[in-house]
Amino acid sequence: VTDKLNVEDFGRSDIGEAARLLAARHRRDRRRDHRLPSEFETQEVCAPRIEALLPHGIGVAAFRDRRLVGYLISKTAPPHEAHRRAYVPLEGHAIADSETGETYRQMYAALAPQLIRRGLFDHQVHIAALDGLASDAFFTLTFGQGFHVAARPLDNLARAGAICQVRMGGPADIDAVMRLVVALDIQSAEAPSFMPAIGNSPAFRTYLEGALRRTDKVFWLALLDGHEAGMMFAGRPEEPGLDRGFDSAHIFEAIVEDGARSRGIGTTLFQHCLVWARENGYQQLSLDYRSHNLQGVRFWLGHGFTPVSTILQRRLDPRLAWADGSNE
Amino acid sequence: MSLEVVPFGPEHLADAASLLATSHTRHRTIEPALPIAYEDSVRALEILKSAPPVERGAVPGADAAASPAAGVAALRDGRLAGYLVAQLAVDFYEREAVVLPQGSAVAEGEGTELYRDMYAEASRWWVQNGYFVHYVHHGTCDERARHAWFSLGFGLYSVYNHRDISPLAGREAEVVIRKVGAERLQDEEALRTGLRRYNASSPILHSYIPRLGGDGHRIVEAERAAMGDPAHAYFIAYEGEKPAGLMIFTPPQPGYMLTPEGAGYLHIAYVDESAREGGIGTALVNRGLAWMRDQGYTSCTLGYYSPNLLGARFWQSNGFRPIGYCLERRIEDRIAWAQGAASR
Repeated sequence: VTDKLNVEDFGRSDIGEAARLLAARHRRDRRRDHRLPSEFETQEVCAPRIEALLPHGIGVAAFRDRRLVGYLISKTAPPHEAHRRAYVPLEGHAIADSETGETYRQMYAALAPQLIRRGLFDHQVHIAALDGLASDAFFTLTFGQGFHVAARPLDNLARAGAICQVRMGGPADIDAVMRLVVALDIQSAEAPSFMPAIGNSPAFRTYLEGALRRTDKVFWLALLDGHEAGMMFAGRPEEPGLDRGFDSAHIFEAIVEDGARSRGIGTTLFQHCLVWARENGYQQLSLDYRSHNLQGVRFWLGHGFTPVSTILQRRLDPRLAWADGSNE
Repeated sequence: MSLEVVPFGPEHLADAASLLATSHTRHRTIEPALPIAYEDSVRALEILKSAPPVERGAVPGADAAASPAAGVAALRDGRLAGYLVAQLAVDFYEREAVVLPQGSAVAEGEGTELYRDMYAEASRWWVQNGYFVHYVHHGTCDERARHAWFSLGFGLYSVYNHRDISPLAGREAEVVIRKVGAERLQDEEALRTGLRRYNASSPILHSYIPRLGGDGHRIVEAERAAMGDPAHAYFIAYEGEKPAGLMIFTPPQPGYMLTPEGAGYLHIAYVDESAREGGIGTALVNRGLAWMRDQGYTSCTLGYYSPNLLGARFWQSNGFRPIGYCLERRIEDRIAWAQGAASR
């Protein structure tokens, strides 16, 4: 590749060619991991996914000899959201097969200042787990691993869990569910995850109250000495993605209280999720976990999950908002 | 086998030196440019002692020169299986925990998981004491370390490179290059300011914090002294009377164990935006390499920020080969208070 690369703002007229690139990238991803859904292998299916990013997205397009060879589009958080971040979803990027990681580097160089101007200093890029080229390119741009989305088939577990009472939660369990959600927040704030536990909004409680009533969602609650000591909340994903389809049930929240860990309660809860997923016609289970959650990683990998996609993240010094060299 | 992660103390130094020497020997089979000296556990102990650990719980001083340290030792069935120790520093008005290349090692049979266990313990203390920015240095040949740190949220911050001392092959610009002393401090300062502005640009994106009052004065005076030091060489390229590029060559960084024997250090390299791609960089490097040869150095090292697109291209295409990485993780500082109380 010798022609000069030009990086410009992404426009609606780029959607068609970008969809062609995305479909080709997804075909490459699927050759490495056949679990990825097949429907995104065509330009026609990919185009609406890219178009849906544009109303609240900021993007750049890379051209070589006036031909689109890459694009990078970030979703932006609404200004009122507590965690302001820029997130490039799986459908938000692709490069032509002939390009190298340098194309990603140049596109990010053009996109990042636009994100900073909007007060977005946390940058995330979602890539297929086996996309080594994208992983290496963003690693060299100071991105580290943040989250993995992982999946496993619904075959039985090799090990038995704890002998404890497990029951399905209902609307009356909202307070117990919220207490366990808070316990999960507190665990997530511990080293080495260091994820700030800033509190949950009333809207999140409302969402959980609704989920407790739904038939396509399930809350399994483990009881220890008469109180709820663990929970797994699973169900149909809100929308299919390039890393999982509607044939995959998703585990949204999983928590065992500190004092109840290492007794097999998590395994028992997971066994209930497996049976529920099978009985409801799903083909696999998926979930996401933080890559620096030591206990979580051990638990999920030990229970047969392997990553299908990874969210890389870079945190910038927010002083860049004023400390850009123009003030001295 | 039981694993216990405990605060690193003086009682772990001797075993840590053995681990470091063994690990370094293993790395040298992959990267022979690394110095042979630290295959010797006595030399490894010396470099470890040069950054002595402090008591856990003691609040470290803010003076970077004092460089206190804090870290952990991992004991498997009572034997030292690994250690992780950071120097604690304040730089650019941030509190940083910096794990130098000698600041960590693990036994041969250990996997990436041990790094993760050690970091979980060590980082708790760092963050509790306000060190939210973490850096880890290691050799490029240490794939196990790279995977571990990447999985812990670290991305590549800078690359440490090595090259022989022969002239670069590219075209040199026909400009005046002066080896300057403190009388050209103003030109040097102007170019350094340009470099700091460049480093604030995308995608490097390092904040440019103005140095105020006493801090600024101290830095300028230190620079003036260094410009008069015969062990340092400051070269400035001029287009007419306009300073267009700066390179500073120095002895190797003291105590940096990845530095090959006989290597000098290209500390600062910058060409003004208006003068790029004309061969000024090549001319400056070649002038500096000639000076290095005269000084008796046999090779040259330098570091560049990994997201520096222009720099990475220039150094890689001119035969500089990565031998060390520095990785960075920035912790969101809301963690200082957002540990659950707000959630209840």
